[in-house]
Amino acid sequence: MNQINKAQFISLLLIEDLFIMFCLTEAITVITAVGFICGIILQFILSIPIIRVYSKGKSLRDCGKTAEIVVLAYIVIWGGMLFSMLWNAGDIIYIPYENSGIWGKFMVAAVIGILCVYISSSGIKALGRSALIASAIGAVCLLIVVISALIQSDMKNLTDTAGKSFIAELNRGFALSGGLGSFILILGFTKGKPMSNAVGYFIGKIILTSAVILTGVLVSGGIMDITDFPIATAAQISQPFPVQRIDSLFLIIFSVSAVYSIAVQATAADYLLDEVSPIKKYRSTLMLIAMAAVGLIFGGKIHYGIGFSIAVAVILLFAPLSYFIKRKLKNG
Amino acid sequence: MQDNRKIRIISELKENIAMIKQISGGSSDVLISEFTTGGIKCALLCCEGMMSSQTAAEMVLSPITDIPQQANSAGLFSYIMKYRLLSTDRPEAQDYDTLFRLLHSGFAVLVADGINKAIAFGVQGYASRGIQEPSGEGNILGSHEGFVETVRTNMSMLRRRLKTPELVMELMIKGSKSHTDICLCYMRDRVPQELLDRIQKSLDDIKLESILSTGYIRPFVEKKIFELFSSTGITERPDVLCSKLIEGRVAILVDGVPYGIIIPRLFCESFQTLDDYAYKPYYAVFIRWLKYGAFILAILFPAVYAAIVMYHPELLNSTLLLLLVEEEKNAPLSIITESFLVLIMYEVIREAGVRLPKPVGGAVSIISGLIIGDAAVKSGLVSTPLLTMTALSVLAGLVLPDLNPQITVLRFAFLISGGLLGLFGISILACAVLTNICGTEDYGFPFTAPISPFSVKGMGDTVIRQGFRKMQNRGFTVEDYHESNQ
Repeated sequence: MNQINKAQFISLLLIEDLFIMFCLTEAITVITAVGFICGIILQFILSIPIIRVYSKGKSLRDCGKTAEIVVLAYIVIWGGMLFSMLWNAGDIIYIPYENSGIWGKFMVAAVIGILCVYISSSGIKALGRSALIASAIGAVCLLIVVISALIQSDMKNLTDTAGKSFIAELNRGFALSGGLGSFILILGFTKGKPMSNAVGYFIGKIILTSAVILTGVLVSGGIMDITDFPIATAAQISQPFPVQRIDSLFLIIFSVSAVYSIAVQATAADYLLDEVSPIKKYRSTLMLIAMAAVGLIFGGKIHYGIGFSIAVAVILLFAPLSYFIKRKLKNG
Repeated sequence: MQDNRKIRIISELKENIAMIKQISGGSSDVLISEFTTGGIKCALLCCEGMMSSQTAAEMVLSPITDIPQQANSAGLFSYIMKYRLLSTDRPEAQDYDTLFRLLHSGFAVLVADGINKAIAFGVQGYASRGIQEPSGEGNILGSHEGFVETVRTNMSMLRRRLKTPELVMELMIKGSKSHTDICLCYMRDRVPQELLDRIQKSLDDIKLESILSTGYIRPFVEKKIFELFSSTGITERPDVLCSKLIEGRVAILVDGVPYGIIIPRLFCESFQTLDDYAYKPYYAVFIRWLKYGAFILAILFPAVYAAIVMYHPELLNSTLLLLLVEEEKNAPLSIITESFLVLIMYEVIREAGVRLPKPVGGAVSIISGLIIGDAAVKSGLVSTPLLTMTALSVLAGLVLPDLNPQITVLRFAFLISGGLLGLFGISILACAVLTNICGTEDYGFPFTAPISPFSVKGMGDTVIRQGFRKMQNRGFTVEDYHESNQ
């Protein structure tokens, strides 16, 4: 795998985090924002061992095949979750034909799958460069949406906790960061110091998460009980112009972030499958089919139970642990 | 025949001439004049129409017929080389292959009895087009000179602008049948050595029989993978080429083609013209952003129109929506079909305008456009808003003639995706196109630099156009954009 730079690395992963937030279901409050931020800090702390491994000039390959298989499995599961989120969001985001039964969903998945096969075949460099441009354009669009949303915001919504507990929101924030599978892999192929790259990513993630969730709370807070997708709803009900709607901006950001999120998983899975198996052809196609199949199992729902949190923790710790055990055994 | 051409020149004059006639197949344009000078029998070979008769008479025939008695042919050739500066370009030929290459390049070739080599004199003077204003790269405030078909004239145009010994122009011959002169140009002190080596290696891979345009060479110096946009540029302006050479790029001139190939080329350069550097920076920035906007408009306008009207009418304000509904309800075809047909018609008219003789072509384009357009709207086949959108999109595309092939194809592709899947379709196709553009990279220079990989230094001539006082201090070469420096 070729190397990408820090800005590309951060863009690739933040696009994915943005997509996850667009697909957030259930009520969100200020506690959600706090819980998510604490979850991100916890993720960073758990990432330190793998960052230390990479700081020694090692890569995931040095952690052993088992570690690579574990990360690959997680990436496929998370890719399935992304497909599931995409289908789920079809209830509120209008994608032509998507709501016309299983075939509509299949068609949308197939279109995105074909695109992801193409993107992953172009390599991580092309993906990283295009993600940087897409995220810059996305940031401008998002800024317009956020500003227009804030105009219509209600500060009283900040005090409404909607019965949310901090621990539950911390768990949700921690579990819904499945991009950490690709984080582990791609960090090893990023130029510069791994710690600086990781810190840059987590800071960006905290800023993005706070901005998006708080905007969602301020705008959708009053109708949180009747809305399924608080962030998407916030974008849709906030219109800066009296006679002109800007939903298209949101639809564009949503579609682009969906494509890049899945493409990152496909590229990472493609690389890892090459590492752990003798399969040399159609790897990304196989991986995307597997992800779509997992997505069908998830049934268009978002899962963020304690099981997913444990999975995230295992993913972050398994590879460095394998590396340290291997080194210990080697040194006798 | 091929074997004969590789053999060494025969020393016996009669046999030599017989061999030359045999190799040339008695071609009428090969002229052989036999004469005696310095007591040695000689023959002067010329290719009719390829040399200047006046120069040949003054610089070759007259001086070499006035040579004192020589002991042998070697002495004759030695005398000519030492005491007769007939022309500055005097290559020697040892075999028939070289002899014929020189002969067909407009050299006068002297063969003599008793010596197995020939001397050639550069007296080229074939009819060629004079230096004219470039037809495809319009310019207001800069030079009005464009490249011509003669590679040596083009080389001289570069030399006139860069009078430095650092400018190197290496001539080579490519094409087993055409023997086309190819000139590799670069600034020795600026060009990255790796780039130069790799381009030379790519040129070595060319085994074509003929090279008749830049299109024959460009595939060899570009990546093998599918790239929507070309990572090599072409220009017909010597001043533009010089500016690229100063930035450390490599150029290739091809004899018979009034264009130079520039390697590497970046995406943002499609939006730059020489006039940008002649106007005040604020106006240059305005024009540059106008071009960025025109590019987006040219590709996306019909697609976004179709997507919004077909799938996302809520995005239109009520006045616009009512207007479009009123117009579209009378159209018998679907919006996507209408748009597709209008665009196809435009392309047909454009192609006819380009291929037909110039006096007729322009008239055909205008008349067919007006008549067909007017008739289509009046008969209700096409709605006025759609025709307006398409015309605007086409007009925007004309702002960037360099990118016309890409704009044309992408406009259709986006129209189909927007017509089938609305803004979602446009977005995902945009992702694919963006990835393709970002994946374009030759010799380690990303096509999308300096935007991605991002370079603050590069923004001075991308997002804005800095003044020359600032630009003179930035010491920019294309090496700054190399992937290893990102």
